[in-house]
Amino acid sequence: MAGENAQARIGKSIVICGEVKGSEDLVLDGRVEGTVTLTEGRLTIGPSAHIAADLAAKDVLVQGHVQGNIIASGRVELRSGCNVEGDITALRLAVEDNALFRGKVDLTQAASKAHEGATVPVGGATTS
Amino acid sequence: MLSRWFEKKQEALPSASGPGLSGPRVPRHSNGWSTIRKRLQAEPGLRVIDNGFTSPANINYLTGLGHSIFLTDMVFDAWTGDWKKGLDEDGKQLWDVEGFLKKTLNFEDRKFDVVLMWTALDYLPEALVQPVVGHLFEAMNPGGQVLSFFHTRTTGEEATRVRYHITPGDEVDMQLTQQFPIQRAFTNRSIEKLFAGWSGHRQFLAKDSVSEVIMTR
Repeated sequence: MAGENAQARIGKSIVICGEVKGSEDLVLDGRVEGTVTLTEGRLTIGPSAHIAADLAAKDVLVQGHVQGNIIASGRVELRSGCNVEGDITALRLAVEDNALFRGKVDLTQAASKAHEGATVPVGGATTS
Repeated sequence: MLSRWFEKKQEALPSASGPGLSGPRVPRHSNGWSTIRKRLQAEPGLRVIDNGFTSPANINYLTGLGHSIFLTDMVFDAWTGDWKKGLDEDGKQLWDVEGFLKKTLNFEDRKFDVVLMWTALDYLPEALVQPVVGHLFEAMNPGGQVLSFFHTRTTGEEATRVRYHITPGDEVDMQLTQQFPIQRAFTNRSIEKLFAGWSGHRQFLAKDSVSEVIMTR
């Protein structure tokens, strides 16, 4: 039985076409086409994952294959063996040897806007 | 001499290989890189184009200084993409120049401050060379600089294509990368002609067969 603190995970055999949204940490090991948005979570793309989606999260760690843009209000890490094709907007970026990456990296104003967007609660209430 | 350097280093150092890169890294003093590095360290928030196969060293160094970067491998894209459009009436190869620029150098509205061209201009198809330089001119801020390396020979080991990895010092590390045939050896005059209209031209002589030039927009 999974504990309350178990990390959300999409397994290797799972295929999702559409929008994945949440506000907690998530590990993707399967295939996702569409978009993935975690407002305050850490997104981990596992070594077996094949992602054709734009990704938005607080921190993003990539070990697998991503075709899409990555927006992080915090840090993006590209680990050895990963393959990323798309643009990265983040506050910080770290790339290991043997990581393959093609695209633009923007650590400027767009990262600040992404950070503001990430801290707005989903369906946030406004006060008058 | 270059291949002997790599062979010798192979025994002494662990290899840092990956798809598109192979073998050890061999350091090379670079006055051109030293000059550009000082600017990168002095000025915050620059936009940089780095040309060549993925170099984590380059990405990490440039982003560590707070700069934004655009990564492209023009030579690989030129020779592996579907840009050939048949032959003209003289039997000369025609290229889809516009398509190549639109796909490979799609900067959107971004303007750049530094371009690390390395030796790309020596390996690009002839039809793409001037358009690429013109496209960079349009995409650069006034005062923007291009660091370009030029082979002085087209034959022998000196024409080996390498990836340049930047370092925090005055050296760049050379590493063997995917080979494409070298197309030309620019002369000083032909370099000046290629960059006609640019405001500055600074050349650094080197002991090996690669000269370094910084062009200012």
